[in-house]
This record gives sequence, structure tokens and C-alpha cells, in this order.
Amino acid sequence: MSEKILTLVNLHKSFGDLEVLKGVSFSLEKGEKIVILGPSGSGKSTVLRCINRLEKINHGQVFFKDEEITSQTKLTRLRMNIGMVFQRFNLFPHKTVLENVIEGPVHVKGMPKKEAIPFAESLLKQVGLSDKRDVYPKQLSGGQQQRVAIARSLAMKPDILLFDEPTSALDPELVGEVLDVMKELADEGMTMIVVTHEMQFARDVADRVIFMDEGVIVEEGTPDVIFTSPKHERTRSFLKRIIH
Amino acid sequence: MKLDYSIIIDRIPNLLWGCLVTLEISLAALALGMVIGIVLALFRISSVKPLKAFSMAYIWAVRGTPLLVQLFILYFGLPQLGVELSSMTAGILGIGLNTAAYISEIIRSGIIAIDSGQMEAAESLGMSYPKAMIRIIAPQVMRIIAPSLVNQFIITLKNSSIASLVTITELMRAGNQIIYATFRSFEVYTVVALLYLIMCSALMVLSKYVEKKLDTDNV
Repeated sequence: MSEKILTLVNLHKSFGDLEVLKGVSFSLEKGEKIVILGPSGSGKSTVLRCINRLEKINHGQVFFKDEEITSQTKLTRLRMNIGMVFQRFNLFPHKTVLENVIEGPVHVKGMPKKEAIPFAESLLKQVGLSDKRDVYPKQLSGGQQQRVAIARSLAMKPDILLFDEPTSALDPELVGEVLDVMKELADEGMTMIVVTHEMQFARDVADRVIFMDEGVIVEEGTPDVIFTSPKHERTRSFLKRIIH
Repeated sequence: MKLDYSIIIDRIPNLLWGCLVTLEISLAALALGMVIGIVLALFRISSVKPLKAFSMAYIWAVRGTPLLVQLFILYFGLPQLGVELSSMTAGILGIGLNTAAYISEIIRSGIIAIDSGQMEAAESLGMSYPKAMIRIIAPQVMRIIAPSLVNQFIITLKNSSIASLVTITELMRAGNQIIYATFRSFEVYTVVALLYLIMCSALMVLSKYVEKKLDTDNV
């Protein structure tokens, strides 16, 4: 494999005087699963949001399949090919579950509804929500909403999925159902970058773990290395705090 | 002096005709106000400084001056600069431009009430800003602002009576003309008031219906 699908080079991002990213670089191979860990405020969510330019970057480059994202056209293509799952789901409340899922394929890609609907139904089946296709998001639990959000992202047939703390807004008993769906996707070979605090998920799924603190990558490696013999003191103290 | 409403019976068609003109001015002004109001609201939330400044200045000037003065500038003032507007054009333009300022503020408040995650979710699907505005943001904004919007429609309908002062024979002026002929101010003005009340009530009923409809739509 080793086909680089996404490369970030020296990303810098500031909010006013606050420098959130101080030169972050890494690349992602097709099929690879990266989990980004780090304390809150370390810039890990900002990295994800800079990839699809929900945040403007101050400095640095993003390459998608060897092509630098330099124009709105290229950005739109990148966004169509990189799905994002948000902490607070961000489902469209005025649309039913099915309408949420077909929104992208039909109104961004121009797929005929006749094709999009059976495809969306198969995705809802995959996330275990076939019976909810005609309800509105607010009638669903957080876990169900997040699974719909995953189906909505999958509907674009993305090359990469970005997960921005997908279980942080959920009641503890609902976390499992979302992680299960994510694990299934990982098993099927989806390329993923996941920002999360779920350490077990990181151990089970990640090919590589990136630990960030104060806007830089402190260290990265396989979950085995990061969790059992981290090199840096900052990584050690973070892991100690989080895995009691 | 005894009240005598019978003198109005003969002249009811004049008043109903006035109602039609009132509705015509109001609807045209509202349509104009909606279009310009949407543009002003988009300018106001835009990151382009001159557009934002223009919108703010416009709203400031319109809200800070009386509608009557605005209307007189258009109808009596502009001819001095060589721009002659018909009374109907001046009336619709004046009331429309005035309403636009208020509508834009209503729309802006609706837009900023929408969670920023909605636009982000749409953009992350690759949707363009205009498309996301139309397909994702606008329907949610409409639900939020529908009651304030109908309220503004009612205000505009009542404000249209000011158009009588630039010689448009809408309901108010139609009433005045009857008074010049009959000197029955009380009878005429109460009937005029009743007719305004009926028109506004129709809007209020519509407003209740819309609110109820939105409530049951699960959002």
C-alpha cells in the first residue's frame, strides 16, 4: 500500500493572539486509521477542521492525493471526498433521517433520487437504523443521531472520514453503539482520522496514534508503543491522568 | 348629533376599492422589503467590510427617521433632482425600503440563532455557501422568524395608511374623501378602522396557523 492520500505540511493556525497549531505535519495512507490524542486545547480538533478548511489556515499546506488545496474548486472536491462527523452531530433538524442522508449525494453530487434513496437505505441498515428513516433527528437519542451523521458522511462515498470527538457529547451508555459502527467501518478498510478520548478504541483500531500537546505533535507511533512505552514525559502524564 | 351609518352604505364600494389599493401597496412593499431585507441581512453578516458597513448605515438611517419624512423625500423631494415618481411608485418604494430595514434585522436575528454547526455540516459535504444558505439555513431561519415576520407584515399594512399623504387613494384616503363630502368623520373613520382590523386579523389568523404548523413539524 503506502499510497499517501492526505498530507499536512507545517500547519499553523492562530485565533487572535492564541497560537493553536504551531507547525503540524503528518500524512495518511489509504486504509490507515490514525487516532489523535491530547489534552483539551492541544489543537487536535483544530487539525481536523483545518483539513477541510472549516478553519482557515494561517500557514502551511494540505495535499489531497498529491494535489495541494489551493482553490475553492479543489477545496470543494476535497470536501466531497472527506467526510466529517462532528461532536454535536449537526444533523439537519428540518429534514428526516433519510433526507439528511440523501442531501449530499442528491444536492452536491447530483445523484438521482431514485438511486440515492436505496443507497441511503442500505447505509441506514449498516448503522442499524432502518426503522428510523422517516423520523426527525430530535426524536432520536444522541447515539442514534450520531449514527445517522455517520451514514450521512458515508453517503458521499468518501475516501477518508474525519471524526471530531464523536462520542464526547453522548451519555455513557450510548457511546458503545457509535464506537461499534466506527469499528465496523475500520474493519471494512475505511481510512480514518479520529480525535477521541476513548483509549480502548484507540488501542483496538488505530494503526498509528498521534499525541498532541500545545499545538505540536509530541510523539507518534503504534498504539502499543504509545500506550506501553511512551518516550515523552508529557505523553506519560497525559495517559496516566486519562487511564486512572 | 346622531350617528348615521346609512350614508356610508352607498359609499362602501369606494372603501372596498381603497382596501384593494391598501393591499396592493402593502403586498408590493412587502415583496420589495423581503428581497432587499434578505440582501441587507446577508450584507450585515458578511465578512466583507464595505457591505457590512452599507447595511448598518442603511438600517441606522431608516430606523432613525420617520416613514412620513422618507416618503416625502421620495415624492416631493426627488423631483427637485429631476426624478419624478408617480405617487404609487413613491408609496411602494418608500414603504418597501422602510420595511426592508426591519425585515433585515428580523432575518439577521434568525440567522445568528442557527448553530454554526449547521453551516459546517453542509460545507463538509462539499455544499457551496449559497446552496447551504438556501437548503439548510433558510428553512430553519424561516421557522424561527415566522411570527416576527407576520408581525412586521401587520405593521407594514397599517403603515400603508401613510401613503394617503402622497395622494394615493388607499383605504385611509378613500375614507377622507367620503368625509369631505359628508362631514361624517366618526362614522367613516370607525368603518375604516374596522376594515383595517379585518385585514390585519386575516394576517393574525395566518400567523397562528403558521405557528401551529411549524410546531407540529417536529423541529
